[in-house]
Amino acid sequence: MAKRRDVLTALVATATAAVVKPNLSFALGSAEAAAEPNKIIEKPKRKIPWRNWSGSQECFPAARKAPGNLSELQEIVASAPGVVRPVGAGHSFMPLVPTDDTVLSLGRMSGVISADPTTGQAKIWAGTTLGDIGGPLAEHGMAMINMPDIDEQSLAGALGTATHGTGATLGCLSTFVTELELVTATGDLMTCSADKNPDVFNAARVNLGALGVVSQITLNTQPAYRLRRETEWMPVEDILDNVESLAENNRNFEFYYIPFSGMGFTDVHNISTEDESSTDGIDQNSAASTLMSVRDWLSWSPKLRELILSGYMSTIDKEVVVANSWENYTKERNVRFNEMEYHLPRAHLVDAFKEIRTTIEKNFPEVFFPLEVRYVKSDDIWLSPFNGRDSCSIAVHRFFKEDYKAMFNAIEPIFKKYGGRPHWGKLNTMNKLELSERYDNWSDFSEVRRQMDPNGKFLNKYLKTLFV
Amino acid sequence: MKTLMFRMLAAFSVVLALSGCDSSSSEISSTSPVKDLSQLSPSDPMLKSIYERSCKTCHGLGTPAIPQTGDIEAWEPRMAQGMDTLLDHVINGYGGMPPLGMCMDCDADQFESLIEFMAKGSD
Repeated sequence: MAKRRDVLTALVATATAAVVKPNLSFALGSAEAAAEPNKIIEKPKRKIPWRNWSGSQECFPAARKAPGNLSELQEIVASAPGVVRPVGAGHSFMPLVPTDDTVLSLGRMSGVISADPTTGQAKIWAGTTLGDIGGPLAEHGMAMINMPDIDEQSLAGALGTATHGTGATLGCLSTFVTELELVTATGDLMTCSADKNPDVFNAARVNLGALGVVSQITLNTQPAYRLRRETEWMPVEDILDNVESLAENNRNFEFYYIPFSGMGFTDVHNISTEDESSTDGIDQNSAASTLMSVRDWLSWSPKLRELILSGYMSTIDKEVVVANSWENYTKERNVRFNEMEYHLPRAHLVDAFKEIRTTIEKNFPEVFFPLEVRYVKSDDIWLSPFNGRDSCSIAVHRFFKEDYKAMFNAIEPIFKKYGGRPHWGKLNTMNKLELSERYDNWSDFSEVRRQMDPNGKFLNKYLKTLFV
Repeated sequence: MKTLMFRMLAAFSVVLALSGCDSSSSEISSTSPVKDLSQLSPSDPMLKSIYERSCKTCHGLGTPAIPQTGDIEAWEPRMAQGMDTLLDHVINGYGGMPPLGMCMDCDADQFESLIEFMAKGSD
């Protein structure tokens, strides 16, 4: 793979050298150099910020708490002055966590508590990262029904924001929940399920951390399975022409489009009984850096950029990986970014995608991160963006050191025009009115939230704009 | 097209040679990490808990770009930058390490203690 990237680098260098470079300082930038952090010097002993994964959200909480057990958690919640905000792995781009008061991590309350292969149910501590669930479940012959494409999020954070994988017949992670235990604003424990406190259950499966602190979660699983993952590059028009059949004929289907290339790749997973195997694959982190370099050198000529990128991408071999499901859904993402993702009715995918592509390629030559498209099945959870409709999700990204606002501001109206609902953890500007118009159960959720937390212990500045 | 590609490749091999540095080779430690280093852990129970859930996945094993816990020679040039700089790296994220190094509840003292532990391989 390294050799293949070298060829791409050579092609870019050739093309660039053939014409006077328009912006040498820009061209000299590399992903490696850009990864150098901004230095923050605060002396003496520092009050350090909390920051999310991309660094776009921060706060200086007066207290950072990490209880080691349930009673400690109850005591902290009951006694904490001011606002308490639960934090997972910091993978939300929206200001769900920031507070000047107490940030509460359940990182020490982690692990699979119990797993029963006969019922298919597993009880898991809320602070468990998604990546730490698959292995322990496999020991019981069980597996998560679906997974996102990264697994660093905490389980509670993923559920609270309706995090999802892809698959036209598969719901978001919250649809696998059968029971939740919460610590309420008074420090009391409350359990909810379809039979027990059903309104709380309907609200709590996607809760934004606004009802209480979820402590334990019971999930439906399925017997352990192996997945065959196939990654194939092709012209994006070919993908769009076949997108519905790809979604219908594969258990998990998603595709990526590389802006200014005309090319994308499909990623499909299907259950397999084959032996584990793997062909050579692209390291996505290196690929992102390479795309950044190509952008740096060729953003002045979109046509040449497309010619070179498409020529290179059309030579990439199909990648096939057969592995246990929990080892074959995710890929490590070390190149940080900010992201906007909206969930649209499936019927609007192609039109919306084409408009977004045109908007980016007409106005934002500096973009190099791919667009990502996934599928999620309809559900009935009150604040699930997939409530009542089978959906496709379109995500756009910007490198974390670059200003994302102009591009996201240009694209968000397209999402809105096609009836999109934003991912709760990803950047959007929707206000209370807009959101309430998109969720039939908005007032139901607001009422349950008000009953559970009348004094707003779990509401930070952002959540107050939505629910007060 | 392929002919053109190869001609361009040949013509600019010098450019490649100049720009194709592999970042992974630039930070290789002068000593090979000892296997047992992966088993190191702080003696303080709280730091041990944080280390094992936040630091160990990467620093416990180490890579050419990630100094392994207890690999003193690998840590030496990092420590020479000063604790403030290393703390900056943790707070802001550095390379593949996200802000706060996966510990959302750590304070500055805990981060400094963990850095010192990893640099020395002992408390």
